[in-house]
Formats: sequence, C-alpha cells, structure tokens
Amino acid sequence: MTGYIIKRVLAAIPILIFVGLVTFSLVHIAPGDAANIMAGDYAGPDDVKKIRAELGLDKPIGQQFLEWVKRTATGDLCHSIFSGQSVGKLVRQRINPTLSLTIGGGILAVLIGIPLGVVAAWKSNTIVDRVAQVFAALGLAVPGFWLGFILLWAFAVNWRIFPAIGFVSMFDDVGGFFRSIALPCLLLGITGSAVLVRMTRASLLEVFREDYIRTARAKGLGERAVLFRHALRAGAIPIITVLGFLVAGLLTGVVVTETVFTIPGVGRLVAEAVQQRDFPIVQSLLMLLASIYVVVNLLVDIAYAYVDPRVRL
Amino acid sequence: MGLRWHKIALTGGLVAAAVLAAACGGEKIVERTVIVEKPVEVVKEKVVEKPVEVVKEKVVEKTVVVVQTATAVPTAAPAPESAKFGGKLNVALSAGISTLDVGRTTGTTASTPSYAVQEFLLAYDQNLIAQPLLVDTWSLQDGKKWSFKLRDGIKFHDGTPLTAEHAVKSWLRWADRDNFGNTILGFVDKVTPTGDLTFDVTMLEPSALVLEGMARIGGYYPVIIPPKMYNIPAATGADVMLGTGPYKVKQYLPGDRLTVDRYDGYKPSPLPASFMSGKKVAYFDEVNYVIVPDQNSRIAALKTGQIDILDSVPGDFYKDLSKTAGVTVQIITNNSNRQGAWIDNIDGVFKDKRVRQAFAMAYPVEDALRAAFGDSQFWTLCPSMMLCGTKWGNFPDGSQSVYNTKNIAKAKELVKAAGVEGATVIVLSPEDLPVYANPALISRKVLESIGFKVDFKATDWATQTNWREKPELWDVFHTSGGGAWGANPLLNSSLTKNKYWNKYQDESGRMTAGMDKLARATSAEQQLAIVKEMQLVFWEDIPYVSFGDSFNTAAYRSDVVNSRTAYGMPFNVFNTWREKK
Repeated sequence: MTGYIIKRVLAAIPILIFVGLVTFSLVHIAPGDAANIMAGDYAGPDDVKKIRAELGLDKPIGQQFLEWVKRTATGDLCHSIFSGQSVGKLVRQRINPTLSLTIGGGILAVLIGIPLGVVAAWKSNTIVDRVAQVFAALGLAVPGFWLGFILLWAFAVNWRIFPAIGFVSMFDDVGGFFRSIALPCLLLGITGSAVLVRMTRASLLEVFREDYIRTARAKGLGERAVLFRHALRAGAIPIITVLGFLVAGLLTGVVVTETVFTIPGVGRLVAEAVQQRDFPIVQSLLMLLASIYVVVNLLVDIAYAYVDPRVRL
Repeated sequence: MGLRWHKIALTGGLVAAAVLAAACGGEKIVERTVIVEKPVEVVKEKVVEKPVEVVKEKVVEKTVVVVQTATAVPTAAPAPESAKFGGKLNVALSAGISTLDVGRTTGTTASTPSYAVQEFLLAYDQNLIAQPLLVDTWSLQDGKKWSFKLRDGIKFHDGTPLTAEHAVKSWLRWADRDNFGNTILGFVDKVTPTGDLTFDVTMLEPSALVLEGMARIGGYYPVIIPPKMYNIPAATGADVMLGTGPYKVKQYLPGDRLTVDRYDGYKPSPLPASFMSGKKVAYFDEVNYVIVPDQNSRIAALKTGQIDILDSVPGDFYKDLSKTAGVTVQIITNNSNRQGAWIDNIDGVFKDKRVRQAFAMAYPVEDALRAAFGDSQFWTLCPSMMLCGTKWGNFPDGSQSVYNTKNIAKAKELVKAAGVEGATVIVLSPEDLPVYANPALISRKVLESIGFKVDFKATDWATQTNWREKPELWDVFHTSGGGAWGANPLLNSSLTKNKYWNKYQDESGRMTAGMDKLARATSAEQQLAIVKEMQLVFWEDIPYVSFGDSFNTAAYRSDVVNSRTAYGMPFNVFNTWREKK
C-alpha cells in the first residue's frame, strides 16, 4: 500500500507542472491586464503605459514566466497587484467561509444524493424512482447561478427567512453562521446531489442484477439486509469516484455560489482576480485549486485500493 | 486680493446661471440667489406634490427642483441634532476596492470610501466653485504668488498634526501623478512651505488653475495625506487610507468590506455645507462599504435592508424598485455621463475629418441612447460639448449641422468625397456591458447606411480595453465620461491632442490653443467665450461622436436622509443620518 501511495504522489508532480504551464499561458493569453483596470476609465494610453511599467507587466512573457516559476518554487506565492497582500494572507482571510460552504454543501449533497439514489434503485420504475430522476436531471441541467437567485428571492427577499448577502463567522455568532450559510449550502447540496443520485442509482441497479444478490435473496435474506449488507458495499466504488468529483465540483461551485450570495470566500477571490486580471493571484489560486484537485484524486485512488484490493495488484 | 478670484468665480457662477436659465426656458426657477461677499449655502429646494412614482432631482445651477411623489417617503422634518446620531449605514460597492491609495488609481471603488475619509485643500461647492476646506484663507500677490494658510488644529487619523509641509508634499504627489496636475505644474515655479501652516505657490505666469487643481474631482484625487502615505510613491500605493475627514478607516477586509467609523478628532470647516465643501458631520457610528459584485444580489440586499444605498440601478429593476416599500429610487440629473462613439482619429477611415463629420451627422443619437438606457427619462439629448446642466454645457453653438441631423444623403456625399466608400470599419461591442454593446448595433447600422462595410467584433470590456491600445484593431468603440471630465475641457482627455484612446489630432491647432487660453483666463466671461470657441472646433473636428447625456440612477432605503450625489462623485455619507421611527 505504501509503495502504491508513493507511486501516485510522484505521478502527481508532472500533473502540477503541466497545470502551472497551462495556467500561466491561459492567464497571459486572455486579453486585458491589470494596468488597464488599475488605471481606471479616465486614464489614457500614457497612464496605462506608466502603470504597466510600474507593475512589470511590460517585461517579455518569457521573463515573467521565469520569475513566476522562481517565486513559486521558493514558496513565494506572490502578492496581489491591487491590495499588495500575499496570496497566503488573502486565502487565510477567506478560507473560513469557503470551508464552511464546501463542508456544509458536501454533507448536504451526500445526505440528499445517496439516500435518494438508493431509494430510486430500490424502488426502480416506481413513482419514487421517477421523482428522483427528475430531481437529478433538474439538478444537473439548471444553472447554479439561476437556482441561486431563485433561492435568494424566495427565502431572503420574499419570506425573509435567511439573509440575502454576507457571511457570519461561527466564532462570532453560531445562529447567524447557520443562517448565513443555509442558502449557499442548499444550492451546493442540490447541484452536488444530482450526480450522486444518478450514480448511486445506476451503480446499485447493476449490483442488484448480480448473481450473489440473487443468491442472498434466495437464501431468504430480507431486502434491508440485501441492500445494506451486500449491495451497498459493492456499489460503493463508483460512488467514491463521484464523491471525488463532488469535492472538485464544490470547489468550482463556490465561485458562483459565493458571488450570488456575496460570501467573501476563496471562490470570490478567484472571480475578482480574474475580473481584475490580478495575474499573481489567479495563477497562485489556480495552482492551489489544482493541487487540491490532485490531492482529492489521490485520496480517491487510495480509497479505491482500500475498498477494492484488486486495484493494488 | 484674496477675495478677488473668489468674487470673479462667484460672479461667473451667476452669469452661468443666467445663461442656463435662458437656455432652459422650460425649467421653473423657483428661487433666486443673492450673491454676498462670503460663500453661502446656495442650494434651495422646492417640494411639489405630483402623482408620479419616482423622486426626480434636477439641479439647475443655484436651484434644485425636487418633484416629490405621493408614494415616496418625503424628506424628514427637521430632527433635533442629537437625534440624528447613531446607527450604521451600509453602502454597496459593485467591485472590490482595487487599492486604498487614491493616488494610485482613478477607479471609483477606491474613491468612494476616500470621499468620507480624506479631504482636499479646497473643495467644490454646489456650483463647482472652489471653496476653502483644509485651507483657511488664501491671497494672490502680483498675480503670480498664491499664499495659503491652513486651518489650525487639524489632525490626521493617525494623530499627526496637519502642517504646510504635509499639504505641499501631498499636493505635489498628486500633481505629479495626474494629467491635470502635470498641466498645472507647467505654470508653477515652486511650491514652498513658509511656516507651520502657511505655504506659497509661485507661478511662472498668472493662472487660476492652481485653485482648480486643489479641488480637482474626476481623475486622481488631490487628497491631503500624512507622511505614512505620501512617503510611499503613488505608483506603489500605500496600504492604508488615512486622512482628516469625518470618518476614519476602522477595518478593511479585501474582497468583503471596508468599515469606517466616526473620527472624534474631526475639525469641520466653519462654512455651511454645500456639495463637497463646508461643514461635515459624521452622524453614523459606522459606515460599511460592502462589496456586492452581482447586481441581483445588490437589489435583493437593498430590499431586505442589508444594504442602504446603491448608486446604480439597472433600468430593468427601476420600476420594480420604485414600487418597493421602504425604498426610494432616484434619477439624478446632475450626475450625468456623456455617452458616445469614440473613433480612431489616427488610423483608418476616420483619419479624414469629413468621414468623422459624416458619421456624426448620420447618427440618430436618440436611438443609441434609447438602446442603451431605455425610456427617455433616463437620458437627454445634449448638443453641447460639455455635459448639459454644467456651467459650460448649455449652448448648441456649432452643432446645428451635425448633431442628430440624421442627414444620410449629405453623409454619403462626404464619405464619397473622402474616397473611402466601401471600406471596412471595425466596431467593437463589449457584450458584458449592454449600455455600450447596444449602441454598437446602432453604429453598425449607421456606418452601413453611409457606405461602409462593418466588421462587428463582439467581445468583452476587458478585451476592448486591450484592443483599443492598438489602433489597427478598432475604428469605433463606445464609452462614456462624467463628472469633471464632462464639465471642464481642460480635464477632458478626449479633447486633448493625443491624450485619450481616440488620439484626437487637432490638425488646426485651434483646440489646443483654446485649452491654452482657458488655462490662462482669469474671468468667468473670458472662460465662457473661450469654451464657446472650442465647441465650434469640437463640432467641426468630431474627436468622438457625442450622443447625449445619460442620468445616473440610485436607490436607497427611505429612512436614510440627505445622502446625495452630484457631478460624478460618490454618495456622501457625511451630513447623512437615519430617520428614527
């Protein structure tokens, strides 16, 4: 198992280097730069040129890349062109809301998605199954920002149950914290659970057709025992894969969710950095998110190996 | 001598008001203002009950007419001073604060909180006349030496007492950064502190520009800051926002909010409050500038009361918000923006003046304004070079044969005469900004109708800002300008040779000469005559195709009293309070 893990970790290194290259290229291919944004609407060509030189954005692209590689390799994750703060400090300031949403949304997605998928498979071709499938289809098809605004207008504006914007830290006010994350987590939970419903249902339906399930039923085991003792364990492997995707989906989903609900988290930091062409922040954050993605995939692989020993062979 | 300029300026304001009154025959001037020797509060209000839905404010120089609806919450009856204090105010910002140093950016996200925190040496009053703010008195000797004395006992938020040295260094930091400041420095021999609270500005030749430079709005702000800020080059930008204003920065959470609270050591000006000048009172305990990037979320937050003020209401939401209980919506006609099509003067077909004239005379400008802003209550046609409603923006001289004439036949003739018929014109359309993308469609139609092929490039604003740096990538893009940019030709880079993206060339040199004369003019009459001459050049040269003026819209909780905005400046959060029920 240790050898397997080392192999997987080493395999992640070229992936991160590739991501770094692509990130840098994409950020610099995108038109517009921070000098234009910084200068403001009334600034003319001379102002922009001056600011571009001040920010070092007029240097050759190759030189900028080498400087970035050097900084990244030495652990200097760059400073924001605008606020001057280090990306590490900015992430620390904003990680609390993002973690709260990711964990809350993830838990909600699992709590909704897996039971609904299990019930849909168990009661396949019944009205329950149809409802679950419609829910899953809508969850996948409806854009997150649209659903977010619907939730916002219904629960915040019309019924005034939850706040429309903002985040309250758990350390300041526990009640306020739950109220502030309720709608964003619900949005992440609904969109995240859709794929879980489909995957769980499909995986279990396949397992239900296996010989050992038929044998279990034939020897007189009750449906509950068949489901929980035999089917679920065997059907878990594809679900674990989807859970890995879910974490990645939640990480990308928070960009939209945090913008809609005005949550000052890492997702909004990404969105703002892209809008402002704050290159150092965009590059560093994308590298960070890519690293998380790689780590999650690594964990999924390890979980695979744990659940299914054949993978280690 | 100290009052000489002051008197001239006030007289000029009166003349401008008279011109304006004559130009706006339909406007009801409901109050007359008597000019006395000292600056006085000149804004007067008349409330008229009228069965319409919105509060509409129209500033006509020294007169404010407020049409008040039956449904809107009326201005509160005078409350006892002590009852106004307390509470929090939440102001929405549509984007993150790019920097805490307004010497580093002209962007509004930084200048909005700066408006509450920092102050100028002089500040404009309601009539855009510079009044003393941190300065106590000034005088002019020999027409060339301006001597200023600061008010005594003023301290910055970090406890540093304000001295002449701080004032001089802050102002020079600004002048070095700002285009207008650069122009002023061309007239200045030296700026020297002469005592703890006194300093001199010695000019190379007579000019009143130095006063305008101390009160400058639009562009970079000439804020007076302590050494902790001015010792850091503006290009680098200080990471704190310190000043002498009625509010001080309490907390800044990048990407989330900036909170200011009352500065107990504030020493207000003894003059009555008028626009940016005069007495300022911080009634709120705390003001939060909350960054809410999405407009739907801003509207939702305003409706639920989490946000008190938002300074730009999209047309789609206007009707809905005006029916919302507890929310007041305004069309602010003294805070307009000049809309237009900016054309590449140095490359392609528009290099030829005749083609620029052809484009302008064929243009149905009201179509462009309607496409961008909808109903005509949100915009006005304006045949003036400067924004209508400002002191130099109320005469049509020179526009008659070009502006909104929709003369396609004549335009075709000019295009043919220029020999560019059938040429391809590149029109940029930033699809993320409908106020510019929609007029781009009108421009396309106009250009095709006068004999061009159009290469219509749908893109986004960030891309457009990048492309406009390369003249070969575009011929027409759409943008706007407001505030001092639209009120004073000296501050309008689009009218200055080679200064803005349109790269106006001023082949005849008459516009540049006008700028030069305007910079040296010392009376309001002279200035008006010069601007009129410059306007003739404007309509002849067509540096850009001017459509007209769009009005800013704003919405706020109805219990917020006296928060106002004008001339492109942010909403004031000082002299504003929450009506208690």
